[in-house]
Amino acid sequence: MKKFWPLLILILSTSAMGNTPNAFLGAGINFSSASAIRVGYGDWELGRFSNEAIGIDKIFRFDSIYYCNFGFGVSINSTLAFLAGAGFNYKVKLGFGVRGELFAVQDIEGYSTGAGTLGVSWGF
Amino acid sequence: MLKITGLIFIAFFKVQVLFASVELGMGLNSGFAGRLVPSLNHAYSSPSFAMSAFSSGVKNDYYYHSVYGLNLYYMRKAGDLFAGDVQFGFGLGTMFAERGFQDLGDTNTETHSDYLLGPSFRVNWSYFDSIFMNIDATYGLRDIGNHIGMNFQEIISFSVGARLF
Repeated sequence: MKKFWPLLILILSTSAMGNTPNAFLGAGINFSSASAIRVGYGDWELGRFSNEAIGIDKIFRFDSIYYCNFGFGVSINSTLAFLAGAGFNYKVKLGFGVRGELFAVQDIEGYSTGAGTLGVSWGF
Repeated sequence: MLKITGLIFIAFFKVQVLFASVELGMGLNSGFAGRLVPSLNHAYSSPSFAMSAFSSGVKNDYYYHSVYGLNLYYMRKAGDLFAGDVQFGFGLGTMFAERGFQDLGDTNTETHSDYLLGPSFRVNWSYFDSIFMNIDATYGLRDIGNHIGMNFQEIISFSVGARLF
């Protein structure tokens, strides 16, 4: 899994220069743990996409609230995984907001999962 | 025979008018809980709407398992990723699965079926207007208590394919 990190950081650093930083901390199923822990710049973010995958994804914003995202990463099977999601972000104050997302993870060995995550965003 | 050919032509032409492209792909889905069972994916899509379906299954002398899905989406262009277009769709999806088992020496087949219906989304990443990679995700609605905890009976369908026209 470690060998993927330099590539992910390289993609992020070359694709998002000049944008503002953002962060997302989202709770997982039954709010029992932190599912999503992501940081990024502009339309890109990387980190823990969900409990089942880490990676990098690009955010496609439709308006000030709704978005979808798509990216690549590594699943819990340590294989290449595709990451996708659709969600919302309501800005509240001081750059913070409430962000929720339905996500899907599919790796090339057949493992897949999907659920929701809800949490706090910053700079989104 | 001429009438039948004419009807087929009209139906085909109308489909082309209603939907800008026809997609055919192969992939896998989560209906088999991680087993690598190939699925056939098919979609009619336009810039505004898409209808996608998949079917997959396994069968031997004692066991069979089939999974089918159908999704309807409102589509829109999301943007681009590494010079490839990304289309996003949000809509309604449904899945039906059936599995049967016949024990050795038994004449009856024990069957079970599952279904789900719920919101779904689609992310389609394509190159050269023809080659694409697609994820369809459907989140089955069943128990509101589980959904409040962000838990769904989901089915994820992944495919790689081509737009035929």
